[in-house]
Amino acid sequence: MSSLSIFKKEKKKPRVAIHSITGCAGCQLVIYFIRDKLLELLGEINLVAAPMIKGKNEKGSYDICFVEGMVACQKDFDELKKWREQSKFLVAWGTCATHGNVPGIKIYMDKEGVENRVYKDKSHLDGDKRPVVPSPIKECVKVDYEISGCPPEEIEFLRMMQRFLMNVKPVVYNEPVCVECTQREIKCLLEDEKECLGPMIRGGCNALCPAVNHACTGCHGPLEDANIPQVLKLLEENGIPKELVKQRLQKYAGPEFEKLGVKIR
Amino acid sequence: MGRVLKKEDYKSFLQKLKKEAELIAPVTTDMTRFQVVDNVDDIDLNGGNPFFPIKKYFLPNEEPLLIIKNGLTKEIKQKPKKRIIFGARLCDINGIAIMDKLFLDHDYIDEKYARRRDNTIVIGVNCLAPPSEYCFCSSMNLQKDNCDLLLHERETDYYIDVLSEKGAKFIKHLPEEEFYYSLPQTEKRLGKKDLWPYFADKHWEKDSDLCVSCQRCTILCPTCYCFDMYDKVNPGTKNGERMRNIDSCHSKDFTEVAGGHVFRDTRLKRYRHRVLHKVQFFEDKFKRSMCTGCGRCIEYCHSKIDFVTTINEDFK
Repeated sequence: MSSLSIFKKEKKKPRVAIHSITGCAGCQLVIYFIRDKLLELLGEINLVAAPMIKGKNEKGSYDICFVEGMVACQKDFDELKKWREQSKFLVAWGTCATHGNVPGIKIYMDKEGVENRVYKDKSHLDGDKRPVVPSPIKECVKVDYEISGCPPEEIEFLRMMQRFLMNVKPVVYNEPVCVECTQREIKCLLEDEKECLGPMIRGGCNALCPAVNHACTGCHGPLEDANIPQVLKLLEENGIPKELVKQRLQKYAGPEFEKLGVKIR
Repeated sequence: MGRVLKKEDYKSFLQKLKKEAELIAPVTTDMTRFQVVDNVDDIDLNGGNPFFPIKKYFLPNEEPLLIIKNGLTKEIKQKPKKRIIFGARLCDINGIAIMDKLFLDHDYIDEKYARRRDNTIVIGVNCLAPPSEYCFCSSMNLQKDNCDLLLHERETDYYIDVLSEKGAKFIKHLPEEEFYYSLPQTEKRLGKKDLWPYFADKHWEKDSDLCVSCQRCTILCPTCYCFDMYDKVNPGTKNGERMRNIDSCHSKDFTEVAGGHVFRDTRLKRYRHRVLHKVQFFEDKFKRSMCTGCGRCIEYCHSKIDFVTTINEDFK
């Protein structure tokens, strides 16, 4: 984590950028959908680049740069590298940026087969559109902070910005989904022999899916501290097919689970 | 001296309670929970011990302590709602007595907690049989005098034990009777209470390896009161709230201090700490075990980790 003292002496409003590479743009929308709070926030920051909502965007020197999406082609990589050089503090915003997410499933599939199925004509996949190995942005550049979620919660954005403006270390919600799920008194799906990944997934979503009787599929990615082997054992005891569990783990954060020692190939 | 409530008058008694204050009682839908009762017919005392203990009505999962306005703090002095909690079992009621030790009797009185305590009447029910196979309250020395009234079901009526003035006024009209009843007897019992000799026992690890750190045991514990405080501030950083939210010793962040050091960095240390705090540390300090034997931490554990069996059978 890089130093946060970057605003200590500066009285100037921090220059903030919100940029996007390959993704669905939903993570950016979360930021714009905070509505009134965004207007309040704009009094405190200088939003110098946000191509989704602004016509005129400045190219250089950002204090904080939020990047959503993952690196899927050469152009993504080049732009990301450029933003990295232009920013003091780079935040990976959303699960695509932090863990690869759905576009990252490609690494577990036949690359040619996927491309043929998606594009009838592949002739434009050339030059800077040339596909590269899909990867979360931390695989390509140094990332100062990560907030996962598909999409991330608006409270995470607000907390991050608030802490920035107060000059304290940012925090993300760092407890499993089970915490909010139990606090909301939702009947446990894992106890009900469903394929819920809750105990090993970072929460903060207020148990959105279990609340509507849908097992957690892990869109926030794994908790660093999770006891993954035991959770997998519980899923096995529930009679969940190994293939389904594998697919669930590949879906949002395959590379991260692999790093934590889970075999999902 | 107690009073006798005939079974045919039970419903009108509940309706009377409902008129007095916000009535909270166990209601069964997909499972049994304590909740505000709309219709007294919904109250279900046979659905087992409700999922979440009554702790939530005294120490909520999240609550604002201060309001921050234009950079200045303002205390929240709202009078809490008048409440009647009906159908709490002795384990939950003793849980409140244990929290009292910390929030009311100790060096500091927690005003928010105290106000909620003052405005809540607790009417307990005595378990005729343990509601779950995980109950082990018989071994935890439960007291019945921490509630206002206690119902004991008999064949044709309820014997209501009067335990406070606050409670007595609801049943002044009922006939008096002297009756001795016994508290529930559970098969499961905690066999050892002095755990210092087993601090380094290798069997802690057997349990902690199964722990997934989901924190359900502490959230659902009727006595777990550890909390965290943080400032929830609007983007302008001048307005917001100071929040208190329930924390858990099973979280790795729980013992993180400035500079990033984590004291209880392994699951083993965290698991052992929880059990020892319940059974040993609190006893050492307040002369009373912090565990009330409700068994929720075993029943709702994903891996069904049973510290009682481990203590009874493995610690030698």
